[in-house]
Amino acid sequence: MNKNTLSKETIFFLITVCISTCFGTFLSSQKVTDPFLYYDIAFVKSIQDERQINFPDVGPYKSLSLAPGRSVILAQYANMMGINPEALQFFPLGSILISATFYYLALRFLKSPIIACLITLYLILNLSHATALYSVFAYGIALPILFGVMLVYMNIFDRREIIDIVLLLLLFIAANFIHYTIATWVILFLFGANLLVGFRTVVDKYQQSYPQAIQVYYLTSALVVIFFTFNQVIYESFLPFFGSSSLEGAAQNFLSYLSFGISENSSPYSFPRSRLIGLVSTFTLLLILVPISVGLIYHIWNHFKHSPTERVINVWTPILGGILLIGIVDSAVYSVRGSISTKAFSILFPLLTLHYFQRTGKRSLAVVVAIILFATSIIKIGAFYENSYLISNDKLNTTIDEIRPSSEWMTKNGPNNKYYLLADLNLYGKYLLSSVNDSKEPIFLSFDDDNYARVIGESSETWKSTPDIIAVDAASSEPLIGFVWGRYKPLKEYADRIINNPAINLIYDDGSIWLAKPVN
Amino acid sequence: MRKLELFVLLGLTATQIVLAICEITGPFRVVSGFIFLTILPGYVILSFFYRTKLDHLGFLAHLVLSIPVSLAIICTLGLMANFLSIGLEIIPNVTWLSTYILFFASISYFRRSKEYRYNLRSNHFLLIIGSLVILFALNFSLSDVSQHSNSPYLRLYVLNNESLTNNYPNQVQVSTPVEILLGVEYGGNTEQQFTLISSHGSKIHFSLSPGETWTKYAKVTLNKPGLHEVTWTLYQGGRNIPQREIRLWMTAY
Repeated sequence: MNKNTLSKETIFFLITVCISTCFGTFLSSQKVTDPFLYYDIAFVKSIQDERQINFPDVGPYKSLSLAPGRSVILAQYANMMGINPEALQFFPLGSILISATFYYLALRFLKSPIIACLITLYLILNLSHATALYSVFAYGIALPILFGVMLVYMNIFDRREIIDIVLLLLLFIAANFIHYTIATWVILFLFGANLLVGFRTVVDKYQQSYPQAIQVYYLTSALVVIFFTFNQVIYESFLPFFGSSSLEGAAQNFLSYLSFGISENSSPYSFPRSRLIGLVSTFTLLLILVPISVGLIYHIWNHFKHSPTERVINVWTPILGGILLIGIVDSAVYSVRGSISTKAFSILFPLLTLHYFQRTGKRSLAVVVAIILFATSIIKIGAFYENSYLISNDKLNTTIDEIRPSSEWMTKNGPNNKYYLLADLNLYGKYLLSSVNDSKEPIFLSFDDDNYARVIGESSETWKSTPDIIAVDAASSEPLIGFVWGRYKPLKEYADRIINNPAINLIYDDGSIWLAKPVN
Repeated sequence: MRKLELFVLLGLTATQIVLAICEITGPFRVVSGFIFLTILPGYVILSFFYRTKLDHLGFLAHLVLSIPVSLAIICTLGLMANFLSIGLEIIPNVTWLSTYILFFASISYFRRSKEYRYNLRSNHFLLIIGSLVILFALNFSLSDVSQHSNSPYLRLYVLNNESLTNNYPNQVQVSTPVEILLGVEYGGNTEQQFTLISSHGSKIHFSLSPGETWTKYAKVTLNKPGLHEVTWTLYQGGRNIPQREIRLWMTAY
């Protein structure tokens, strides 16, 4: 690598990381967050002064014991940087870590600094996934580890060192402690890559091309055993959610994501997503998936058409296999849990898309596609801003400081040491965070169609689980997040109906927050 | 590892130790803590195990790969420290992590003769500019989070006769008074006059200074059977626009 090439790579690296960090800072100033991050932050706040972290078996923090590494990392960041956990929640850590590692992965995979820069900025600026990626949320910490796994795996093609295997093992163990989805992705990546290595070595008799494959077979097997033995998430939080109703919910969420209208059976209270955002998302998804599908068909066609000696051996083929398997399995697995995931498609598949464009021999075509992908993210920023969704000039919801008085009021006047709170997941997170170390703890009850109808007075059926308190963010214009990622219209739109609903007493009003209680 | 690299690593580690022990917070601590956790643990272990084996590992590759490896190390070592009750409080944490960094930095330095050396000079300027932008942005992102707002507030609430949020009188006997507790909390800049008007005719005037709370046990009597909507509306100063409103639904029998 000569000096000029190194400088060009470094220039684009710095451009990428600087823009990503600035965008992360912008999202931070807009208080964009993933609702599940409140659990992590509240727990870190609750254990900050303790010598040892004990993960509780019950209560709102129960699920955190399934990924203890996350709390350990967040606690260390808060301590070392000398900031409180509330500030850490909006720290754009993911923007920096993901942009740096993904840029370098794309650079090694696509061998073009400008394409690597564009594709990284496409990912970081993509507001459809930014809430999960930009901050200290699980993806922001775990994705760099996945990219690290891919980078180390690429080294295996250059040389054979036991340290690579040790590093892969270390990275997997950390991923397993941080985020079960990324741990699964690591296994799927190695499994898919090895499957292709195995296929080519057996069918094509090209054993000499992948001499390191045997080592990685053993490693993959070891990782699978570790995952199924030590990761309890799959047994406690995944398998119980399997079901046909989840599939139906997933399909509706997916249609809503694409903005193809609401399907017949969907909820009348569903939050209608902007058509422009849906259109851009659909276009982006097609732009990513169609070239991969065509490329794959071409690959398979070539395989059977030509004799083995004529087939091109590409060292990146196993990487393609690994990424493909992640995308396919991840979307399938999430769909049976109630949400068709496009994360893997959006995050990893652009690498494959651009790789296939590069293989056409027209390098400029790959640059154009990278520019279009980047442009879709820019358009989305405009569309999100125009719709006051996630980012806006105006205030989008009630801040945690404004929540605190009503939380303290509940702590002071609530009859028991815990209370069941029916609320939007974001709002609940704020109550959980503001009630840390208080004597009363809110327990989450999520909105579904029935609960939503009862609160706005369109249903008089009895509650399945009667909430102690119903919290309404009367200032929020953001979608209300309910059961299995369901998005409902903000309750502000039904303010009059809530006020006139004879099934609930309105017992607290501070202008932003209303607290209500079901009539006995 | 070169002498310069070793000095930089020692300097960064020492800075973090001093900042942590002296409990100095602010922009320097944010930057120092970020580098201390995100780069250094991975950088030293890659210097020791990896750089001598991979002769084309450039500075950028080393830096980037340090990130996931650092995260993996602080995660696994952190869990071990927690399990062994060494603790994740700031002093024990900075102690064991510094010890780890210094150990691997030192032994990497003594293996320096075998390894590839980076040409950093051509990228010095860019690295400094880029780092400054990133660090400025990081500190900006934290600037307004930790402060608690002192914005004005006005809260109206109703509790049962035991000052609790349960057992509200939803079923009452005709012509039998029931007691509830009404409260108003005010936080503003000046003393204000308030009027609380109930739907069954009562009107209460009172004034509140900033930070003051007004409470009153009120009696509600329903004279006709059926479902009644009992509301209390709060007006501030001479304004005719209702500021806050609460309501109870009561069935009289």
